[in-house]
Amino acid sequence: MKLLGGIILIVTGFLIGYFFYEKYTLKINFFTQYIELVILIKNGIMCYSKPLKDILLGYKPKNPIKKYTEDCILLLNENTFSEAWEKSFEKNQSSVNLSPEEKNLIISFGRQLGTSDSASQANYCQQQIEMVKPYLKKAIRDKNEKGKLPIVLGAGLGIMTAILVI
Amino acid sequence: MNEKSKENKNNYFDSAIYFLDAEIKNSLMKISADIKRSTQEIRLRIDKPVNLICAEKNFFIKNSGDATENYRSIDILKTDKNALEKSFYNLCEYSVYSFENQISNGFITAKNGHRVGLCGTAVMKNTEVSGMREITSMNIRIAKEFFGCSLKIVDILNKSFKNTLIIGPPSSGKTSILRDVARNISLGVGIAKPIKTVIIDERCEIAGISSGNAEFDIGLCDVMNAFPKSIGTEMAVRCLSPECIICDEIGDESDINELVKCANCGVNLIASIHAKDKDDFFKKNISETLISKCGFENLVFLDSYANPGEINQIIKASDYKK
Repeated sequence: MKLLGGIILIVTGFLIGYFFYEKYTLKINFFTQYIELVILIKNGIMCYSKPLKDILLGYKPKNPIKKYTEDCILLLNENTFSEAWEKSFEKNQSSVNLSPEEKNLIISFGRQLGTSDSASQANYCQQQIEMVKPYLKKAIRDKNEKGKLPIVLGAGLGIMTAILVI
Repeated sequence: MNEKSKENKNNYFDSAIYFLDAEIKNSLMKISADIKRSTQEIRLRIDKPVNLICAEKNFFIKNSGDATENYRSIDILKTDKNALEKSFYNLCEYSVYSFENQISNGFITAKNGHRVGLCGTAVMKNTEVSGMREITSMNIRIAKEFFGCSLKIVDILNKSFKNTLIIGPPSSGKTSILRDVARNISLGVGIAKPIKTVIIDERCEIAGISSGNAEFDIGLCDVMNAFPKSIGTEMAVRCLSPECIICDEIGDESDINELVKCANCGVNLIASIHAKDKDDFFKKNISETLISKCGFENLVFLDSYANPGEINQIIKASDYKK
Protein backbone atom coordinates (compact mmCIF):
# COMPACT_ATOMS: atom_id res chain seq x y z
CA MET A 1 0.00 0.00 0.00
CA LYS A 2 2.84 2.33 0.97
CA LEU A 3 4.68 1.42 -2.23
CA LEU A 4 1.62 2.30 -4.31
CA GLY A 5 1.24 5.63 -2.48
CA GLY A 6 4.92 6.37 -3.10
CA ILE A 7 4.59 5.64 -6.80
CA ILE A 8 1.54 7.89 -7.01
CA LEU A 9 3.45 10.74 -5.34
CA ILE A 10 6.40 10.36 -7.73
CA VAL A 11 4.13 10.27 -10.79
CA THR A 12 2.17 13.28 -9.53
CA GLY A 13 5.38 15.22 -8.98
CA PHE A 14 6.58 14.26 -12.45
CA LEU A 15 3.26 15.31 -14.05
CA ILE A 16 3.30 18.70 -12.29
CA GLY A 17 6.83 19.22 -13.61
CA TYR A 18 5.75 18.10 -17.08
CA PHE A 19 2.87 20.59 -17.01
CA PHE A 20 5.35 23.45 -16.57
CA TYR A 21 7.66 21.93 -19.20
CA GLU A 22 4.74 21.87 -21.67
CA LYS A 23 4.30 25.63 -21.29
CA TYR A 24 7.66 26.08 -23.00
CA THR A 25 6.58 23.75 -25.82
CA LEU A 26 3.26 25.57 -26.13
CA LYS A 27 5.02 28.89 -26.56
CA ILE A 28 7.29 27.46 -29.26
CA ASN A 29 4.25 25.99 -31.05
CA PHE A 30 2.46 29.30 -30.75
CA PHE A 31 5.26 31.30 -32.34
CA THR A 32 5.85 28.66 -35.03
CA GLN A 33 2.19 28.64 -35.99
CA TYR A 34 1.96 32.41 -35.74
CA ILE A 35 4.82 32.78 -38.23
CA GLU A 36 3.06 30.24 -40.47
CA LEU A 37 -0.10 32.34 -40.23
CA VAL A 38 1.71 35.56 -41.15
CA ILE A 39 3.37 33.80 -44.11
CA LEU A 40 -0.06 32.57 -45.19
CA ILE A 41 -1.48 36.10 -44.91
CA LYS A 42 1.45 37.44 -46.91
CA ASN A 43 0.97 34.84 -49.65
CA GLY A 44 -2.80 35.35 -49.68
CA ILE A 45 -2.23 39.05 -50.22
CA MET A 46 0.56 38.76 -52.78
CA CYS A 47 -0.72 35.83 -54.85
CA TYR A 48 -4.50 35.98 -54.62
CA SER A 49 -5.42 39.41 -53.22
CA LYS A 50 -7.83 37.59 -50.93
CA PRO A 51 -9.60 39.56 -48.18
CA LEU A 52 -8.21 38.87 -44.70
CA LYS A 53 -11.34 37.03 -43.62
CA ASP A 54 -11.04 34.59 -46.52
CA ILE A 55 -7.35 34.05 -45.77
CA LEU A 56 -8.12 33.25 -42.12
CA LEU A 57 -10.97 30.96 -43.18
CA GLY A 58 -8.56 29.03 -45.37
CA TYR A 59 -6.10 28.47 -42.52
CA LYS A 60 -6.63 25.16 -40.74
CA PRO A 61 -4.13 25.15 -37.92
CA LYS A 62 -3.96 23.10 -34.75
CA ASN A 63 -4.12 24.63 -31.31
CA PRO A 64 -3.05 27.11 -29.94
CA ILE A 65 -3.59 29.36 -33.01
CA LYS A 66 -6.79 27.56 -34.10
CA LYS A 67 -9.06 29.10 -31.47
CA TYR A 68 -7.48 32.48 -32.05
CA THR A 69 -8.19 32.59 -35.82
CA GLU A 70 -11.68 31.12 -35.35
CA ASP A 71 -12.61 33.81 -32.82
CA CYS A 72 -11.12 36.54 -34.99
CA ILE A 73 -13.39 35.49 -37.90
CA LEU A 74 -16.45 35.46 -35.63
CA LEU A 75 -15.62 38.83 -34.06
CA LEU A 76 -15.26 40.40 -37.51
CA ASN A 77 -19.05 40.41 -37.84
CA GLU A 78 -19.33 43.06 -35.13
CA ASN A 79 -15.89 44.67 -34.99
CA THR A 80 -13.24 46.25 -37.17
CA PHE A 81 -10.37 43.95 -38.12
CA SER A 82 -7.93 45.45 -35.61
CA GLU A 83 -10.51 45.14 -32.81
CA ALA A 84 -11.30 41.53 -33.76
CA TRP A 85 -7.58 40.72 -33.95
CA GLU A 86 -6.91 42.22 -30.52
CA LYS A 87 -9.98 40.79 -28.79
CA SER A 88 -9.47 37.26 -30.10
CA PHE A 89 -5.82 37.41 -29.06
CA GLU A 90 -6.61 38.74 -25.57
CA LYS A 91 -9.21 36.01 -25.17
CA ASN A 92 -6.94 33.11 -26.10
CA GLN A 93 -3.39 34.12 -25.12
CA SER A 94 -3.50 33.31 -21.39
CA SER A 95 -2.47 29.65 -21.82
CA VAL A 96 0.59 30.61 -23.89
CA ASN A 97 2.23 32.72 -21.16
CA LEU A 98 3.52 35.55 -23.36
CA SER A 99 5.42 38.54 -22.03
CA PRO A 100 3.84 42.04 -22.36
CA GLU A 101 6.38 42.86 -25.08
CA GLU A 102 5.42 39.75 -27.07
CA LYS A 103 1.71 40.48 -26.65
CA ASN A 104 2.15 44.06 -27.83
CA LEU A 105 4.04 42.90 -30.93
CA ILE A 106 1.20 40.63 -32.00
CA ILE A 107 -1.64 43.02 -31.15
CA SER A 108 -0.02 45.95 -32.94
CA PHE A 109 0.35 43.86 -36.11
CA GLY A 110 -3.45 43.83 -36.49
CA ARG A 111 -3.69 47.63 -36.44
CA GLN A 112 -2.15 48.23 -39.86
CA LEU A 113 -3.03 44.93 -41.48
CA GLY A 114 -5.18 45.36 -44.56
CA THR A 115 -4.95 49.14 -44.66
CA SER A 116 -2.73 49.62 -47.70
CA ASP A 117 -1.72 48.20 -51.08
CA SER A 118 -0.42 44.67 -51.56
CA ALA A 119 3.27 45.55 -51.86
CA SER A 120 3.22 47.52 -48.60
CA GLN A 121 1.23 44.77 -46.89
CA ALA A 122 3.70 42.10 -48.01
CA ASN A 123 6.56 44.16 -46.57
CA TYR A 124 4.58 44.68 -43.39
CA CYS A 125 4.04 40.91 -43.01
CA GLN A 126 7.71 40.20 -43.69
CA GLN A 127 8.68 42.76 -41.08
CA GLN A 128 6.41 41.03 -38.56
CA ILE A 129 7.97 37.65 -39.35
CA GLU A 130 11.46 39.08 -38.81
CA MET A 131 10.37 40.66 -35.54
CA VAL A 132 8.81 37.44 -34.19
CA LYS A 133 11.74 35.17 -35.11
CA PRO A 134 13.97 36.31 -32.19
CA TYR A 135 11.13 35.53 -29.77
CA LEU A 136 10.79 32.05 -31.26
CA LYS A 137 14.54 31.52 -30.89
CA LYS A 138 14.36 32.72 -27.29
CA ALA A 139 11.46 30.33 -26.59
CA ILE A 140 13.48 27.41 -28.00
CA ARG A 141 16.53 28.45 -25.97
CA ASP A 142 14.42 28.75 -22.80
CA LYS A 143 12.98 25.29 -23.36
CA ASN A 144 16.41 23.76 -23.84
CA GLU A 145 17.93 25.58 -20.88
CA LYS A 146 15.08 25.66 -18.39
CA GLY A 147 12.57 23.17 -19.76
CA LYS A 148 13.90 20.07 -18.00
CA LEU A 149 14.15 21.79 -14.65
CA PRO A 150 10.42 21.58 -13.74
CA ILE A 151 10.37 17.86 -14.59
CA VAL A 152 13.45 17.16 -12.52
CA LEU A 153 12.16 19.29 -9.65
CA GLY A 154 8.68 17.75 -9.85
CA ALA A 155 9.94 14.19 -9.97
CA GLY A 156 12.57 14.92 -7.26
CA LEU A 157 9.99 16.47 -4.98
CA GLY A 158 7.75 13.45 -5.56
CA ILE A 159 10.55 11.04 -4.70
CA MET A 160 11.49 13.00 -1.57
CA THR A 161 7.91 13.17 -0.38
CA ALA A 162 7.48 9.46 -1.09
CA ILE A 163 10.61 8.63 0.93
CA LEU A 164 9.42 10.81 3.81
CA VAL A 165 5.97 9.28 3.77
CA ILE A 166 7.23 5.71 3.48
CA MET B 1 -42.14 46.94 -63.93
CA ASN B 2 -43.43 43.74 -62.39
CA GLU B 3 -44.33 42.97 -58.76
CA LYS B 4 -41.08 41.25 -57.93
CA SER B 5 -39.21 44.37 -58.91
CA LYS B 6 -41.40 46.59 -56.72
CA GLU B 7 -41.10 44.30 -53.70
CA ASN B 8 -37.34 44.23 -53.89
CA LYS B 9 -36.78 47.97 -54.07
CA ASN B 10 -36.57 48.52 -50.29
CA ASN B 11 -34.11 45.68 -50.02
CA TYR B 12 -31.86 47.31 -52.62
CA PHE B 13 -31.51 50.37 -50.38
CA ASP B 14 -30.87 48.33 -47.24
CA SER B 15 -28.40 46.06 -48.98
CA ALA B 16 -26.46 49.10 -50.24
CA ILE B 17 -25.74 50.54 -46.79
CA TYR B 18 -24.50 47.41 -45.01
CA PHE B 19 -20.93 48.69 -44.79
CA LEU B 20 -21.68 52.16 -43.38
CA ASP B 21 -20.74 53.27 -39.91
CA ALA B 22 -23.38 52.18 -37.37
CA GLU B 23 -24.65 55.70 -36.59
CA ILE B 24 -25.25 56.63 -40.24
CA LYS B 25 -26.64 53.20 -41.07
CA ASN B 26 -29.13 53.29 -38.19
CA SER B 27 -30.43 56.72 -39.24
CA LEU B 28 -30.71 55.65 -42.87
CA MET B 29 -32.57 52.49 -41.91
CA LYS B 30 -35.26 54.65 -40.31
CA ILE B 31 -36.17 56.69 -43.41
CA SER B 32 -39.52 56.09 -45.04
CA ALA B 33 -40.05 53.27 -47.52
CA ASP B 34 -41.08 55.73 -50.24
CA ILE B 35 -37.79 57.59 -50.08
CA LYS B 36 -35.87 54.33 -49.88
CA ARG B 37 -37.62 53.18 -53.05
CA SER B 38 -36.87 56.33 -55.02
CA THR B 39 -33.27 56.79 -53.85
CA GLN B 40 -30.74 56.32 -56.62
CA GLU B 41 -27.60 57.51 -54.87
CA ILE B 42 -26.38 58.12 -51.33
CA ARG B 43 -23.64 60.71 -51.04
CA LEU B 44 -21.35 61.00 -48.01
CA ARG B 45 -18.84 63.80 -47.62
CA ILE B 46 -16.64 64.59 -44.61
CA ASP B 47 -18.38 67.08 -42.28
CA LYS B 48 -21.28 67.50 -44.72
CA PRO B 49 -24.87 66.28 -44.47
CA VAL B 50 -25.71 62.80 -45.76
CA ASN B 51 -27.38 63.40 -49.12
CA LEU B 52 -29.92 61.14 -50.84
CA ILE B 53 -30.34 61.66 -54.57
CA CYS B 54 -33.79 60.62 -55.73
CA ALA B 55 -35.32 60.77 -59.17
CA GLU B 56 -37.13 64.05 -58.56
CA LYS B 57 -35.61 65.56 -55.40
CA ASN B 58 -32.58 65.61 -53.13
CA PHE B 59 -33.02 64.81 -49.48
CA PHE B 60 -30.92 65.21 -46.35
CA ILE B 61 -31.35 63.06 -43.27
CA LYS B 62 -31.89 64.09 -39.68
CA ASN B 63 -30.43 62.02 -36.86
CA SER B 64 -33.93 60.80 -36.16
CA GLY B 65 -34.13 59.31 -39.65
CA ASP B 66 -36.55 61.92 -41.00
CA ALA B 67 -35.81 63.25 -44.47
CA THR B 68 -35.69 66.97 -45.23
CA GLU B 69 -34.89 69.06 -48.27
CA ASN B 70 -33.27 71.72 -46.12
CA TYR B 71 -29.62 70.93 -45.50
CA ARG B 72 -29.37 73.70 -42.91
CA SER B 73 -32.03 72.20 -40.65
CA ILE B 74 -31.15 71.46 -37.03
CA ASP B 75 -30.19 67.92 -36.07
CA ILE B 76 -28.99 67.09 -39.57
CA LEU B 77 -26.97 63.90 -39.92
CA LYS B 78 -23.38 64.63 -40.96
CA THR B 79 -20.56 62.30 -41.89
CA ASP B 80 -17.47 62.75 -39.75
CA LYS B 81 -14.00 61.70 -40.84
CA ASN B 82 -13.89 58.72 -38.52
CA ALA B 83 -17.24 57.39 -39.75
CA LEU B 84 -16.20 57.72 -43.39
CA GLU B 85 -12.90 55.98 -42.70
CA LYS B 86 -14.63 53.13 -40.88
CA SER B 87 -17.15 52.78 -43.69
CA PHE B 88 -14.35 52.69 -46.26
CA TYR B 89 -12.42 49.95 -44.46
CA ASN B 90 -15.58 47.95 -43.90
CA LEU B 91 -16.42 48.29 -47.59
CA CYS B 92 -12.95 46.95 -48.38
CA GLU B 93 -13.52 44.10 -45.89
CA TYR B 94 -10.49 45.52 -44.03
CA SER B 95 -8.40 44.45 -47.02
CA VAL B 96 -7.65 47.57 -49.06
CA TYR B 97 -5.08 45.69 -51.17
CA SER B 98 -7.86 43.39 -52.35
CA PHE B 99 -9.56 46.34 -54.09
CA GLU B 100 -6.39 48.04 -55.34
CA ASN B 101 -7.35 47.94 -59.02
CA GLN B 102 -10.84 49.21 -58.41
CA ILE B 103 -9.67 51.97 -56.07
CA SER B 104 -7.15 53.16 -58.66
CA ASN B 105 -10.12 53.50 -61.05
CA GLY B 106 -12.05 55.52 -58.46
CA PHE B 107 -14.64 53.03 -57.28
CA ILE B 108 -15.32 49.84 -55.35
CA THR B 109 -18.12 47.46 -56.20
CA ALA B 110 -19.82 46.57 -52.93
CA LYS B 111 -21.62 43.30 -52.23
CA ASN B 112 -24.89 43.05 -54.16
CA GLY B 113 -23.40 44.96 -57.10
CA HIS B 114 -23.74 48.49 -55.73
CA ARG B 115 -20.99 50.71 -57.07
CA VAL B 116 -19.34 53.07 -54.59
CA GLY B 117 -17.50 56.01 -56.16
CA LEU B 118 -14.59 57.38 -54.13
CA CYS B 119 -12.97 60.77 -53.79
CA GLY B 120 -9.67 61.35 -52.07
CA THR B 121 -6.01 62.07 -52.66
CA ALA B 122 -4.37 60.25 -55.55
CA VAL B 123 -1.40 57.98 -54.93
CA MET B 124 0.77 58.16 -58.02
CA LYS B 125 3.29 55.62 -59.32
CA ASN B 126 5.27 57.20 -62.13
CA THR B 127 2.50 58.83 -64.15
CA GLU B 128 -0.36 56.54 -63.23
CA VAL B 129 -2.80 56.61 -60.34
CA SER B 130 -2.05 53.49 -58.29
CA GLY B 131 -4.45 54.14 -55.44
CA MET B 132 -6.21 56.64 -53.26
CA ARG B 133 -5.68 57.80 -49.70
CA GLU B 134 -7.51 60.15 -47.35
CA ILE B 135 -10.97 59.38 -48.67
CA THR B 136 -13.08 62.54 -48.47
CA SER B 137 -16.34 61.47 -50.05
CA MET B 138 -18.29 58.45 -51.25
CA ASN B 139 -21.14 58.07 -53.67
CA ILE B 140 -23.15 54.86 -53.31
CA ARG B 141 -25.06 54.09 -56.49
CA ILE B 142 -27.87 51.73 -55.67
CA ALA B 143 -28.01 48.87 -58.16
CA LYS B 144 -31.51 47.65 -58.93
CA GLU B 145 -32.98 44.85 -60.96
CA PHE B 146 -35.80 45.67 -63.36
CA PHE B 147 -37.20 42.34 -64.41
CA GLY B 148 -38.57 42.43 -67.94
CA CYS B 149 -37.16 45.85 -68.85
CA SER B 150 -35.37 44.37 -71.87
CA LEU B 151 -38.29 42.52 -73.46
CA LYS B 152 -38.51 45.00 -76.35
CA ILE B 153 -34.84 44.36 -77.12
CA VAL B 154 -35.19 40.59 -76.77
CA ASP B 155 -38.13 40.71 -79.17
CA ILE B 156 -35.98 42.45 -81.78
CA LEU B 157 -33.13 40.00 -81.18
CA ASN B 158 -35.53 37.10 -81.62
CA LYS B 159 -36.38 38.30 -85.10
CA SER B 160 -32.77 38.89 -86.06
CA PHE B 161 -29.89 38.58 -83.61
CA LYS B 162 -27.70 41.59 -84.35
CA ASN B 163 -25.11 43.48 -82.31
CA THR B 164 -26.89 45.80 -79.93
CA LEU B 165 -25.69 48.96 -78.24
CA ILE B 166 -27.49 50.38 -75.19
CA ILE B 167 -27.02 54.14 -75.04
CA GLY B 168 -27.98 56.42 -72.16
CA PRO B 169 -26.83 59.00 -69.64
CA PRO B 170 -25.51 57.96 -66.20
CA SER B 171 -28.14 56.30 -63.98
CA SER B 172 -30.47 55.65 -66.93
CA GLY B 173 -30.43 51.89 -66.31
CA LYS B 174 -27.93 50.64 -68.89
CA THR B 175 -26.52 47.97 -66.59
CA SER B 176 -30.01 46.87 -65.49
CA ILE B 177 -31.02 46.39 -69.14
CA LEU B 178 -27.82 44.47 -69.94
CA ARG B 179 -28.49 42.23 -66.95
CA ASP B 180 -32.06 41.59 -68.03
CA VAL B 181 -31.02 40.88 -71.63
CA ALA B 182 -28.33 38.51 -70.36
CA ARG B 183 -30.82 36.65 -68.19
CA ASN B 184 -33.47 36.38 -70.92
CA ILE B 185 -31.31 35.34 -73.84
CA SER B 186 -29.25 32.85 -71.80
CA LEU B 187 -32.43 31.21 -70.50
CA GLY B 188 -34.21 31.42 -73.85
CA VAL B 189 -36.96 33.68 -72.52
CA GLY B 190 -38.69 35.52 -75.39
CA ILE B 191 -36.21 34.07 -77.83
CA ALA B 192 -36.28 30.96 -80.02
CA LYS B 193 -33.43 29.15 -78.26
CA PRO B 194 -31.08 29.89 -75.35
CA ILE B 195 -27.93 31.72 -76.42
CA LYS B 196 -24.52 30.84 -74.98
CA THR B 197 -23.72 34.13 -73.29
CA VAL B 198 -20.59 35.42 -71.58
CA ILE B 199 -20.64 38.58 -69.49
CA ILE B 200 -17.39 40.54 -69.27
CA ASP B 201 -18.14 42.21 -65.96
CA GLU B 202 -15.25 44.63 -65.67
CA ARG B 203 -16.79 46.66 -62.84
CA CYS B 204 -18.50 43.68 -61.15
CA GLU B 205 -21.86 45.41 -61.52
CA ILE B 206 -23.80 43.28 -63.99
CA ALA B 207 -23.70 40.04 -62.03
CA GLY B 208 -22.67 41.56 -58.69
CA ILE B 209 -20.38 38.65 -57.90
CA SER B 210 -19.37 38.46 -54.26
CA SER B 211 -17.30 35.57 -52.87
CA GLY B 212 -17.95 33.66 -56.08
CA ASN B 213 -21.74 34.00 -56.01
CA ALA B 214 -23.74 36.20 -58.38
CA GLU B 215 -25.96 38.48 -56.31
CA PHE B 216 -28.19 39.21 -59.31
CA ASP B 217 -30.14 36.74 -61.38
CA ILE B 218 -28.16 36.44 -64.60
CA GLY B 219 -29.68 33.21 -65.89
CA LEU B 220 -27.21 30.79 -67.45
CA CYS B 221 -24.48 33.26 -68.32
CA ASP B 222 -20.79 32.69 -67.77
CA VAL B 223 -19.24 35.66 -66.00
CA MET B 224 -15.67 36.88 -66.43
CA ASN B 225 -15.62 38.90 -63.25
CA ALA B 226 -13.41 42.00 -62.89
CA PHE B 227 -11.63 41.23 -66.17
CA PRO B 228 -10.69 44.26 -68.25
CA LYS B 229 -12.82 44.13 -71.41
CA SER B 230 -9.81 43.91 -73.68
CA ILE B 231 -8.49 40.78 -71.92
CA GLY B 232 -11.82 39.23 -70.95
CA THR B 233 -13.30 39.27 -74.44
CA GLU B 234 -10.21 37.68 -75.94
CA MET B 235 -10.18 34.92 -73.32
CA ALA B 236 -13.91 34.33 -73.65
CA VAL B 237 -13.75 33.96 -77.43
CA ARG B 238 -10.81 31.61 -77.16
CA CYS B 239 -12.03 29.44 -74.28
CA LEU B 240 -15.79 29.66 -73.77
CA SER B 241 -17.15 29.52 -77.35
CA PRO B 242 -19.79 32.18 -76.72
CA GLU B 243 -22.54 33.06 -79.16
CA CYS B 244 -22.96 36.42 -77.49
CA ILE B 245 -20.69 38.61 -75.36
CA ILE B 246 -22.15 41.27 -73.07
CA CYS B 247 -20.10 44.10 -71.62
CA ASP B 248 -20.77 47.39 -69.90
CA GLU B 249 -19.57 50.92 -70.60
CA ILE B 250 -17.38 50.95 -73.67
CA GLY B 251 -14.78 53.60 -73.06
CA ASP B 252 -11.49 53.83 -74.84
CA GLU B 253 -9.87 52.63 -78.05
CA SER B 254 -8.61 49.37 -76.54
CA ASP B 255 -12.19 48.36 -75.70
CA ILE B 256 -13.32 49.10 -79.25
CA ASN B 257 -10.38 47.28 -80.83
CA GLU B 258 -11.26 44.16 -78.86
CA LEU B 259 -14.93 44.42 -79.80
CA VAL B 260 -13.92 44.68 -83.46
CA LYS B 261 -11.99 41.41 -83.05
CA CYS B 262 -15.06 39.77 -81.49
CA ALA B 263 -17.28 41.01 -84.29
CA ASN B 264 -14.81 39.54 -86.79
CA CYS B 265 -14.96 36.20 -84.96
CA GLY B 266 -18.69 35.99 -85.52
CA VAL B 267 -19.60 36.53 -81.88
CA ASN B 268 -22.59 38.77 -81.27
CA LEU B 269 -22.12 41.75 -79.01
CA ILE B 270 -24.39 43.55 -76.63
CA ALA B 271 -22.76 46.52 -74.93
CA SER B 272 -23.52 49.86 -73.37
CA ILE B 273 -22.08 53.33 -73.75
CA HIS B 274 -22.59 56.71 -72.12
CA ALA B 275 -24.33 59.39 -74.18
CA LYS B 276 -26.93 61.96 -73.22
CA ASP B 277 -29.16 61.30 -76.24
CA LYS B 278 -29.13 60.41 -79.92
CA ASP B 279 -27.45 63.64 -81.05
CA ASP B 280 -24.83 63.35 -78.36
CA PHE B 281 -24.05 59.78 -79.42
CA PHE B 282 -23.68 60.55 -83.10
CA LYS B 283 -21.44 63.51 -82.27
CA LYS B 284 -18.96 61.16 -80.61
CA ASN B 285 -15.93 60.23 -82.68
CA ILE B 286 -16.29 56.57 -81.79
CA SER B 287 -19.91 56.23 -82.89
CA GLU B 288 -18.91 55.70 -86.52
CA THR B 289 -16.36 53.03 -85.53
CA LEU B 290 -18.87 51.27 -83.31
CA ILE B 291 -21.41 51.06 -86.12
CA SER B 292 -19.17 50.35 -89.09
CA LYS B 293 -16.37 48.22 -87.56
CA CYS B 294 -18.02 46.61 -84.52
CA GLY B 295 -21.23 46.16 -86.49
CA PHE B 296 -23.68 47.52 -83.90
CA GLU B 297 -26.99 47.44 -85.72
CA ASN B 298 -29.57 47.94 -82.97
CA LEU B 299 -29.12 51.26 -81.17
CA VAL B 300 -31.20 51.42 -78.01
CA PHE B 301 -31.59 54.89 -76.50
CA LEU B 302 -32.68 55.08 -72.86
CA ASP B 303 -34.73 57.67 -71.08
CA SER B 304 -33.20 60.06 -68.54
CA TYR B 305 -32.15 59.11 -65.00
CA ALA B 306 -35.68 59.95 -63.83
CA ASN B 307 -36.92 56.72 -65.44
CA PRO B 308 -34.15 54.18 -65.10
CA GLY B 309 -34.56 51.12 -67.30
CA GLU B 310 -37.08 52.79 -69.63
CA ILE B 311 -36.35 52.48 -73.34
CA ASN B 312 -36.89 55.73 -75.21
CA GLN B 313 -36.21 54.62 -78.77
CA ILE B 314 -34.67 51.74 -80.70
CA ILE B 315 -33.27 52.54 -84.11
CA LYS B 316 -31.45 50.56 -86.76
CA ALA B 317 -28.01 51.95 -87.48
CA SER B 318 -28.50 51.18 -91.17
CA ASP B 319 -31.74 53.17 -91.24
CA TYR B 320 -30.10 56.10 -89.52
CA LYS B 321 -27.30 56.21 -92.08
CA LYS B 322 -29.84 56.43 -94.85
